[in-house]
Amino acid sequence: MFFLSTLEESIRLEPKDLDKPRADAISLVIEELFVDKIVQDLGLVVTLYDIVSIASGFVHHSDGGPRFQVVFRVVVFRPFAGEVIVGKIKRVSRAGLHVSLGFFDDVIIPEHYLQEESMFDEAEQLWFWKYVGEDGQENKLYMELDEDIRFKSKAVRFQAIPTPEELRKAREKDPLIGTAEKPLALMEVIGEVYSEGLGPVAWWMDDDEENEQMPS
Amino acid sequence: MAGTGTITSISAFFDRHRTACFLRQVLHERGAGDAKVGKARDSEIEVFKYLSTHSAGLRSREQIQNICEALKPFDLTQPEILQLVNLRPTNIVEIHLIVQECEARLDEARIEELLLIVKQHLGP
Repeated sequence: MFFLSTLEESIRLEPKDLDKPRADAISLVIEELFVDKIVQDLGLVVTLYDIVSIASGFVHHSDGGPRFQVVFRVVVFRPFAGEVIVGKIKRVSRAGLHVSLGFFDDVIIPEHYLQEESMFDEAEQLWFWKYVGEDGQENKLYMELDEDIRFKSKAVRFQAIPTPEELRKAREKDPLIGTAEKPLALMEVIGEVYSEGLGPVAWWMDDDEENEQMPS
Repeated sequence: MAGTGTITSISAFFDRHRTACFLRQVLHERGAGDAKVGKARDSEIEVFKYLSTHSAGLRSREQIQNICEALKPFDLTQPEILQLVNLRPTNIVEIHLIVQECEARLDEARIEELLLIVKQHLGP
């Protein structure tokens, strides 16, 4: 889920921050720019890990703030293909399930990646799995909101920030603009729950486990 | 931030064993878990909260090294070891999920051994 990535950027300090210890002032700028932001084709930056090197500052013509060439490492969130992850079901629609990890909200389980024999209940607006038990009884196992769900990461999709030109051309329902309900997601994790052992965590727990406390 | 000496040695370790539980420790040191030390940003606190509910808790480097040693005889790949530590499986179905081609590589007895190791090293 998480890995270290080395980045190199030109970091500019405000003149007012020049009296602070160099590394601290630079760390703050890096954190503002990168933490909780998506880096295209890399992933979501979780935290600044450390600073590897700071090259001496250059002051450009008519700019009071010096620029430093900084090499630093960040911890990045991006699931690897086939990684098994637990999240919470946040939204359900005909299109599938939207799962959140708390710090990351754009996990999608499209309806064709649900367990075979999954159906959408229009009245409840929820998906359920039609499961035939050993006794031949047909059970409807619902995938409830806020339930813990275990999924496997199939793919990670990145969306480039739209250019002003693209935004101008976009029509009302264009996914590039996004809506209040479905804002533009720069990074999406597509997951599947059709393998055995995937889906709501409660479905696969042994009987005695359900009574155990979740260890912290 | 912790002293640069500690970070360089931890980072090499992190690279090889980039487990979620280790990240939790890093964030904890940044003040994510403790309101008083609190220098962590909101998003870092969110990641810490996720890791606290879903991974093996604060684990020292020795503990992680020990479990890697214990897992050697099972011939697991790096991603498989990573997921075992991150997910702490407690039943056979979860092992099948993590280990590719499980039926071919591990018989039921081996799976039970694996579950025992996970419980011993990463148990509650």
